[in-house]
Amino acid sequence: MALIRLRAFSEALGMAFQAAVALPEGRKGPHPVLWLLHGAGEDYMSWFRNTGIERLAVRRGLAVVCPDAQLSMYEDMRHGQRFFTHIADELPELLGRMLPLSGAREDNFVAGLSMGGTGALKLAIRRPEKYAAVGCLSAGYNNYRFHEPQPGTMRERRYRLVYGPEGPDRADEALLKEVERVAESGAAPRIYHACGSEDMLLRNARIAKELFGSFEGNPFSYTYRERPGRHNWDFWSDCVPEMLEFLLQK
Amino acid sequence: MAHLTVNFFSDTLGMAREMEVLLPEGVKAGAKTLFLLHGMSDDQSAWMRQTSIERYAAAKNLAVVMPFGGLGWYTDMHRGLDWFSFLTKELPGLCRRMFPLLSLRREDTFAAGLSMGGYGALKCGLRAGDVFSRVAALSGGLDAYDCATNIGHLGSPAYWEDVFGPAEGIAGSFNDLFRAAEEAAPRPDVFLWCGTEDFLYEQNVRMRDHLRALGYPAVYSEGPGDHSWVHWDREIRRAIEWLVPGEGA
Repeated sequence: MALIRLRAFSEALGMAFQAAVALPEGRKGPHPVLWLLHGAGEDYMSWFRNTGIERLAVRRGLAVVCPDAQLSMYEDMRHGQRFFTHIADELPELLGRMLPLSGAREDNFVAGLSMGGTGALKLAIRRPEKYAAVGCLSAGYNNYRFHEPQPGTMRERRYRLVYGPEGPDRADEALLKEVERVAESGAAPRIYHACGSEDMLLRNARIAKELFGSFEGNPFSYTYRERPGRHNWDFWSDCVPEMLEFLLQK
Repeated sequence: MAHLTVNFFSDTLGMAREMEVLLPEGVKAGAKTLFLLHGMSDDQSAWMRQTSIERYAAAKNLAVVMPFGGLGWYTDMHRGLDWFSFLTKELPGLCRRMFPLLSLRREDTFAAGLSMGGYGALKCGLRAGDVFSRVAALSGGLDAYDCATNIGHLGSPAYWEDVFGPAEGIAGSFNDLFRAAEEAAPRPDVFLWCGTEDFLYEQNVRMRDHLRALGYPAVYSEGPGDHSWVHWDREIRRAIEWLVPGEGA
């Protein structure tokens, strides 16, 4: 395994960005890729520093790309930069040119935790032609509904910067429509979803479970796990092996 | 340019190392590649930190790979690690696997370096000419015997014996670049620069004369200056202009 910290210019962001990439060494590419998204307050190195993802991925011949989303909720921000475009569209093109990464849908997976778990669902729902499967940890398709930010807090400011004064509700409605469309498309990504039973976002996770699990015939192969755990790296680290197993199953 | 810091495992060295890599963003495939070598007491980060190499390489759409060479003189050491095998046998393949946009062709593959790295770069051309077509040595320590015996401040006799073996065995050996120049096939194009106040100046003049006597198309230049980055920052830009003339890829 080689670990690469990459800096380059992003047209979408209008500034230099960083990303971390783990590549299986000694094998010829192109490799299957897991796009792995960090949570709010973290950065592109957090997954590598807090879990065994590099070791666990190489064992399976999987490359791992961790982008950096700052506090963008993986959206093209109303007041800020276009992180959704950067991560969903720009990075796969840019990195696909430089590194031996497969562009085939069956070789591409997206997962994340907390803000990144919501981001992973969003990427897969908005770009279902790009990802075969998605992993969402400790999050729902939104993370604010039962966790309303107090006025004047950092969290409130984050949501306003991303969604503007009317807040996230409209973005949510659009996403729900997309979920239905993807569910009926016959080519829905498979979804692995896990949340700790002591997690502050448990209610959000359960709402998402009701949504994705509600479709006739389970088009998302939706799989939900709830077990003792909180909103922390102990839980996320423990989830990794089972999540990789699910993502990579044929 | 994309700037990549790469942590990887080398089978040849038997240990994990770090390298710096610059990849041009304007190239889809077949990028010309410069392996750029640091000097004694430096590491893989030195060229990025002390010069504007990224800006110079970007102007030519030139990929740059900056590996770590320790104090090993890019040599398969008498007592130590196989730095030359790492550099010439393992690293090019490893980089091309990892970065598919790099050219595989000899005529697109170059080496350059300063001081100890100048020795390493010239050695790449003379002893691994199947891989490297053009090499540039700035202030190179080009005479291994002279470095090991006469230039006392670079290391102890025990150190030099670890690197090159007993001094009396250096002349005529694989590590002797004067002998290597006689034996090289295919021959590389060579660029040499040295400051006239450099303690390695004499070695560079002798290598220039040697290469010319052998009929090499060697480009040689010199100027006022000692063993320092202000000159290498300027001269690496000239060396890159020589490696990739005109507008670049």
